[in-house]
Order: sequence, then C-alpha cells, then structure tokens
Amino acid sequence: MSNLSSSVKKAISIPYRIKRSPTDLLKALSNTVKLDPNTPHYSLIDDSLLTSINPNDVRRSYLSKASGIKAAKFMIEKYPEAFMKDDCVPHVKSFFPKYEFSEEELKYPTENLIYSLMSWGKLSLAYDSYLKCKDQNIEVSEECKHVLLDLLSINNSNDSKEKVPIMEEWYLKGQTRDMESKPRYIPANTWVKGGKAEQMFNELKSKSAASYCSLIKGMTKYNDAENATTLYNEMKHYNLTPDLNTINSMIKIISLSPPEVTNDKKIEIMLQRLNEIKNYGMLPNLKTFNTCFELIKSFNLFQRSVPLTLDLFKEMQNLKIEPSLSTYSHIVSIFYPNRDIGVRTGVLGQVINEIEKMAQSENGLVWKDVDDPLFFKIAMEKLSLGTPENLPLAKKLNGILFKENNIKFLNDSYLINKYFEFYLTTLIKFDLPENVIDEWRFLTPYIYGRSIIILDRMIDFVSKNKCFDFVPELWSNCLEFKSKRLSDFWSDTIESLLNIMGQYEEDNQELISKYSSIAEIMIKNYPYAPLRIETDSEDDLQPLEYNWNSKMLSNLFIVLLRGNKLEAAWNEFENYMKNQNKIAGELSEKSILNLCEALIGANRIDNAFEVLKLAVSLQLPILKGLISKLRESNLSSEQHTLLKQLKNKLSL
Amino acid sequence: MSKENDAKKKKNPKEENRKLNQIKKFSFIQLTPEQNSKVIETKKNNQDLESTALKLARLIIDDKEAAIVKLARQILNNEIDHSKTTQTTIKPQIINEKLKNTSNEQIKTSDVQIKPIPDTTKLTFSAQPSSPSSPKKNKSKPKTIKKNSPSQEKSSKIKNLDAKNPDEQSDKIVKNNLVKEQESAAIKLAKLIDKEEPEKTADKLLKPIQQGSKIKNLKKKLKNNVESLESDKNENKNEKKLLDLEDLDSGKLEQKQEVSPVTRVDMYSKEHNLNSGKGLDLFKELGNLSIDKTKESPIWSMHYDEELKQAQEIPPMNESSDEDTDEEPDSDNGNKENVEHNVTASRIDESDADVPFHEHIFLDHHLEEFPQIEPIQLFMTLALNGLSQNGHLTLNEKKEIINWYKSYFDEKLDIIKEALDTEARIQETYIQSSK
Repeated sequence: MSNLSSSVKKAISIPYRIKRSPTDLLKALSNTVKLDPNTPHYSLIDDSLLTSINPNDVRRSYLSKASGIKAAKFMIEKYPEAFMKDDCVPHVKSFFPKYEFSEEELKYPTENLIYSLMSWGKLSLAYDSYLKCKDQNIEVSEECKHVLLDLLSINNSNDSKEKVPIMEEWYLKGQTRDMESKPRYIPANTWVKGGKAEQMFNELKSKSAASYCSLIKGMTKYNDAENATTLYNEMKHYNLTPDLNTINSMIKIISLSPPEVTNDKKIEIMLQRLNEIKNYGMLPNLKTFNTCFELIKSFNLFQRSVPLTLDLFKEMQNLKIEPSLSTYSHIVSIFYPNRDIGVRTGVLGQVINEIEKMAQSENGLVWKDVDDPLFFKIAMEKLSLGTPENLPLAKKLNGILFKENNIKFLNDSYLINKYFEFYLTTLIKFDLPENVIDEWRFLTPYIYGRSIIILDRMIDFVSKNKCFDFVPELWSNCLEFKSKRLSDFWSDTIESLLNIMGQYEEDNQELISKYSSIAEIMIKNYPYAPLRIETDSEDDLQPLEYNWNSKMLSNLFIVLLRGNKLEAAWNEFENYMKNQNKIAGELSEKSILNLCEALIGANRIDNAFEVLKLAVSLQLPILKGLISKLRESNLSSEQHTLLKQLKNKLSL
Repeated sequence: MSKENDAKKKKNPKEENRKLNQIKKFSFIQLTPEQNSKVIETKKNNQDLESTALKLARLIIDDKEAAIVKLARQILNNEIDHSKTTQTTIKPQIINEKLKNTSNEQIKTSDVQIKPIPDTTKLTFSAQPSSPSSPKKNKSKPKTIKKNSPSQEKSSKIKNLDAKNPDEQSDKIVKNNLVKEQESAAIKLAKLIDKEEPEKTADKLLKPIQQGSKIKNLKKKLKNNVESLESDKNENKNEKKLLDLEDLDSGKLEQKQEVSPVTRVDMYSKEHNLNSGKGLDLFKELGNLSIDKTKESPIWSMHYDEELKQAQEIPPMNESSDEDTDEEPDSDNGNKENVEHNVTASRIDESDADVPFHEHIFLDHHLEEFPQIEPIQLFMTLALNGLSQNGHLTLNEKKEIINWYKSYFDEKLDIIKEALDTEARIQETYIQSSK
C-alpha cells in the first residue's frame, strides 16, 4: 500500500511536443523497407514468363522504363499547354513543363531576370542577360554576380544538368565507377578554358577570396590542375585566405600532377597544404584527411605510404575527427596495393573490427563522404585475394552489410555486382559446400543477379565437391541466361555438368530422371549437328553448330540411359554415326556397353548390332561379353552367322 | 702528368656527386628513424670529426679509380725514376701504417655515433667489398652480403668492442694528431719523390691516403701486405657511416628508404597497428581555432550537400518488413530450396497453353456458386480478383482453390448464420437502448 501511495504522489510530467516535418512519417515508413531475397524487385514483376531474372534482362527492363519516363518528359516539354492543370497540393515542380522565357521577357534584362533564369538552371541565358545589362548600363549587384559565378563554376560554364531517372542513374553511376576503378585511370581535364565562368570572374570589380575559391573549386572539380594551381598561387600572392574546401580540393588535384613529379614531391606538396591550413589558423576536417589518403592511395606501391598513413590517421584521432567508411577504404587500398602485397600487415582485420564497432554504435553506419560506398567492395576484394583465414572476416563484413539497411552503401550497379562477386568467390574458395549453396540461394538472383563468371565458378565448385543434388538447380540457373549465341555457349560448362551427372551412381530416381531430361535439353538446345530445315526464304539464319567432344557425348549416353530414355539415346547414337567427323575422339567403353545392353534389354537386336559394329571397329575389350550377351537373345540366322564370323575373327 | 690528373678530377664534379649519392643511399639502408635520431645527437658533438671524415669520404667515393691508380703509379714511377729502390718498398709500408692509424682512430670516433645500429647492419658494413666503385652491385643483393667470411665477421666484432668505449675529447685530440701525423708523413715522403716541390706532392699524396680504399688498387698491385687491406676496409666503413649522418641532416631520410628493396618489403610484410602512428604534430597547439575562417559561399556548400545526398539515392527496395518477418530469415532460404527448379527451359505447365486468356481472367461467374451472404460475397469478390491476376497458377489450380473455398463455406454455413443472427440481435438491442 505504501508503495502505491508513494507512486501516486509523483508528479506527472507531460513530454514536450516534438515538432515533426510533414515527411517524417514517410521517412519512418521507408526505414521499414528492405531487400527481399525471395521475389524479384517489384518493378520487374510481370507475367511469370516475362519477369526478368538474368542481369542483362534486368538492366534492359530498368533502362527501358527509364527511357519511358524520359519520353513522357519530352512530350510534356513539347506540348506544355496540355499539362498545365495543377491538381497537386503542394505543387510538385518536376511534374510540370519547364518555364520557357519568351523573347519579350529576355529583351529587357534586369537583375531579377538573371535570378529567375538561374533558378531555372538556364545559366547561359543568365550570363547573356548579365552582358546585356552591362551594355545597357543597368546595375547588377556584386552579390548577383557572385551567385552567377558560383553556379557557372559548379556547372563548368554550362546550363545545370537535368536529373536522370533513378534507375538510369543507378547504371550510369555504376559505369562511371567501373571506369574509375581501372588501375591506370586518369581523370580527364574537362574544364572549359576561358569559358563563361572565367569570363564572369573577370567581370567582378573586386575579386574577393570567395570568388577566387569559387573558380578554383570549379577548376579542380573538372580536373584542371594547372590553372587551379596558378590561380591558387595568385590568390596567396594577394594575401587572400582560401576556405577549407578550396585547400581540400587543391590536395585532391596533386595526384593529377605531370608524371615527372615524384611521389616524394607530391607528399611534400600535400604537407605544404596542410601547413597552409595551419598557418591560416584553420582546422582540417574529415574531407581534408580523406583527400590526403586518396592521394596516398594513388601512389600504389610506395613504402613511404605506410608510415605516412599511420601518422595521418593518428593526427586525425588527435583532432578527434571520426573516420568515415571512405577513410577506411582508402587505408585498405594503401596497405594492400596489389595482389600479393599487404596480407601480412593485418590491417584489414583491424579495419573490419572498427567498422563493426561503428555499425553497433547508436547511429550505426552514417554517410559522411561521397566515396563511402567504396568501402565494402574494396574490403571484400582484398579478402577474396587472401588466405582461408579471411573467411570469418568476410562473413563478418557481410553480416555488417546486411545489418539494418547498410546495403544502401552499395549505391550503384557496379559496386553491388562486384561486392557479391567477390563475396561468393571468397566463399567458393574457402567455405564448405552446404554454406556456399545456402548463401547462393539466399543472394541470387534477386539481390545479386548472377553473372556468367560467378556461375562458371560455381559449376566448377559443384563438380569438384560432387554436389549431385545441386546440379538441376544450377542448370536451371544457366537456362535463365537464355543464351543461344555461340559466344554464350560454354562448352566447358556443359562438359563439367555432364561429367558430374555421369559420375552419379546412387539410386535417387527423381534425380536420375531430372538428369536425363537435362541431358536431353542440352543436346537439343546446343546441337553439334543441327537439322537443317530447307526453306524458300533466304533470310533464315543457318542453325548454329556447337562444339562437342566424345567425352561429353559418352556422358550424355550414360545419363540418358540411366534415366531410361533409350529412344533419345538411340536417336543421338544414329546422329553420331552420321556425323562422326564432327566429334573429336572416340566414345567411351562404358557408354557403348550401356547402350548395347539397353538395346538388348528392349529386344532391339538390329540396333544392338549397329552398336556392336562400332565396338568392333574400335576393337574394344568388352566385345566378347557383348557377343555372348547377344547370343542369349533371339537372333535371326543371318545374325547368328555374323556373330560366328566375328567370334572367329576375335579368336584369331 | 699531375696537372692532367687534377684537371680530370675537376672535370666531373657532377659525376662525383652522383656516385656520392648512390653510396649515401646504399649506406643508409639499415638505419631506422629512431636509430637515426640517436645518431644525430651524437653527431652534433662530433662536427669537427665529421667534416674531416666527410672530406675523406668524398674522396673515397670519387670513382676515378683509374686516375688514382695512375696517381699511385706516378708515385711509384717517380720513386723509380729517382732510383731509390730501397725506399719504394718502404713507402707503401709507411702509407699503410699511417692508414692503419687513421682508420683505427676513426673507428673510435665514428663508432660512438653508430652505437645504436644493430649487429646485422654492422655485418653488412663490414662485409662491403672494399671497392666502393660498385655500389649498385651491393645494393641489389643486400641480403647475400650477410653471408660473410669469418675474417670479415671478426673485424666487425672488433668494431663492436671499440664502439663501447666512446671518448669524445680524446677523439678530438687524436683526430688532430692524426691529421698532423698524416701531413708530416706525407711531406717526408714528398721530399723523397720530388725535392723541388715537396708541398704539392705532399698534397697529392695526402689525397690518396684519405681515399683509403682507392689506394687498395695500388696496394693490390704492389701486393705488399694483408694488414694494409684490412685497415683500408675499416676506414671505408667509417666513412660510410659518417655519410649517413649527412643524409640525415639534409632530410633525405625517406628518399633513401624508398630506393632500398629491403625496406620496401619490410613495410608491407610486417604487421602494423592502425593506431601506431606518431601523428604529424601539425595541429597540436591550435585547439581553440575555428574550423573555417573564410566563409564558403552558400551555393558551394549546398552543392556539396547535394552531392552527398545524391550519392545516397538508390532505387527503392522491395521488402516491407516488420519485426515478425525479421525473426525468420532462415526459413527464407528454406523456401527457395523447395522451389521447383525448371530444368527444361519451359517455364510453365504446357498443358495450360491452350486455355484461352478469358478463362484465366474472368472468374466472376463463380460468385454465384457461393452463398448469398454479404460478407462471404465481399470476401470472394476480392479472392477471385486476386486469382485472376495471378500468373503463376494454371486454370485447374485456380479452380481447385475456388472449390476449396466452396466446401469450406458450406461446412461453416451454420456457424456463420448463427453469428450473423446474434450480431443482428445485438444491433437491435443497441438501437432500442439508444432510443
């Protein structure tokens, strides 16, 4: 009772109302959306026959949808008057046609016109209007000029870019990333020399530090190292203090120095820039350090890199700057410059532990840098090159990726494909078959569209480990590629699949019948001697001939006969007898024996004699056994005499 | 002759420097930064010694062996010319003795500085062939150098012992004495060679003495004694160590490391702790300073924010998950395992191919077969709608599902009617009570 009464006395405090933005609910909802490994992405779902599964189809499907969106936008721009009815509350700008400035409006330039042109992204027109103002002695404020300079620098003297549909962006970003990840990639200088940005800069009456910074950042953004450095020195000459991001971007372009500049010189320049930050009385930020690490990364194999990186990292800790994922990704790249080197440094394990700590913290992994998404791909790549000891690390890393929605850090098609390719490669290299198959089933095809490379590796793995149960599934995965072209036919793949099916000796009837139907489909879809259908039209393409060898054919017979598909096997045998010249090597003893026995069993003595003839011509040691078996069956008198002759020959 | 030689020496100062650098690089391999810092400390105390040693070193590194040999020959020839054959045999001995002295003294002085160097490095030094004209060869095979002949190892051990007794003051005195002794000996010698201009000859003589190793060639030719060779080596070693000190001064530490293959392998093949860095000590005292002094234009800041925001944009994902589904991720796998895998490239049952599409889509007529009770009709409308949109089922499968519903509702019809009756009654009583 006393407890109750005391609790009653407690004052009830009503919490303050938390202000929510109108989209907070949507954000909360979006956090509940995850990746579903069991169904295709909703935008791909169609009639079950048409749902895209293989990566090429998926890409085509997404991109065609994106191009549909673009076509719709085109129509909106072409017939703007038809799309002016505004039912949206609030108004959604991107649903409506762009505002077109009439010639009348452009005739009388004012500062306001320049501002509105800029807000519609029409920077060239804005600059032209500014020039008109100047001609007509209409005053334009310095502030307006600065804004125009900023925008022109950001957009490299062009109009601001339109956003592409999100799915196209996904593949576009992937393509760019793919290009940038090539080992000898050097970003091209795309800065428009003497363009509107530079002209605008010259128009300014007094050139402030901010205006210098704006132009320098524009130049560095488009990789014009030379001009940026000149301008930067000019700025220093006039005792103007640059902002931090300008110095950061100056560090970024050190890697673009001409080839005669040595790495030592580059480091010297980098330290000089850091000293400048200090001398200007500023403190570096995360971006500063990340650009430094990125620069060191570009040296590739260079021993000063290692101590310098450690020192920089310590400096970061001293300044209490929390590293981002990209910091760690650069560090991993620095310590593991190429294949064989860096494994002994043991840095990868430490980095993954740090990331695990970050992921388990209250906020989880947070976006801090544009390059953050590189981390998972690079770490997994280095793990896949290492030793079996990396397996638990790879699993840990993958665990972090699937925690919460961290998979969002793989933000383009290239990264997601490469990451899972490396992950599965690591598993295939080091893990047990059951684990590999489990992960394979979980990830493919809806999270990761299996590529031909990884499929090949998987088939290799399955045939090495004799995972008989898994073969039908793997074959159905192969079929999803719908490959008909010659270049897509992997005779190695079919050979290894036939090989493993031929080795199966247990008695699971279901599996045996599946195997035989797979074999049937193989020879039907990829014939070495296709039937030519004579047609009148000349347009018909000749059917393709695929490469088969005798080993593949032998296994084919064995598999077909185990599945009691005698008719199919016999047809194929006849086909083989006609096209022996297309097959290198001879059929195996086992396959001929099996075929002959099956024919005798089905009482098709004539056919069995055909097979016997082949066996005679090959002079196989199993002949005697075959002859004695044939004798036991019902034979015509001719066949009897034939057999006798054969036996005499053999005894001779 | 002598003039020509001098001219030759002067002609190639650049080449000399290059060679010097090469040797500097080479000799620096084995010093770690910590060792270097210690070396620097001791070095400051021995600046005088250094300068003389450096002079010697430069001369040693001078690669114009041929010139030196010529010079040496010249010395000999002059002696022969003067037909003082008895002295020619003595002379190399004198030189050697002097060299021995100098080298021994210098070992003392320089070993003070080299103290922190581990034994292995000493071995490499001691093992260095006495001809510094082949530094490249040495550089490429630094490890093989460790396999020393026993005699060489011995000499290095002796050095180690010496290194334990540093005495700076006495060193200075010794050094001065040494130089004086060298000079006086050279003058004596010069008087023998050239009576007219003994000073010039003495200078000439002093250079080769200081060049130590170069004289080796001469000595080899003379094949006089083994002792001289050893003293040569020692002197050579000392000079190289002193060279390292100069490297440190000029701050070329890392450059030297970069060239060495030994250190390169070391950097990437030993374990590193991520937190083992020392920091740059750049921003130590700036605790209270602002992060950005010049204000960045808001448009650029917006641009950077936008860039980061755009990087985060990915296409929407497809599973709406609440906590219930989170608990059974394993069963997801299991589901996939049981999926019927299509091995024949035909994706659906061929038997369905002849069924016209309208039989798949329009299933409304089945509604009539269900009891005319509102909730059932409402539910079945939706159920049939779902079936008609499902592309994964054959017509027969759809009919099976419909029949299952039919039998289910038939079974439960009594219960449903009863429930509906009670519901209606409750509603009635509610309306009455509200009235």
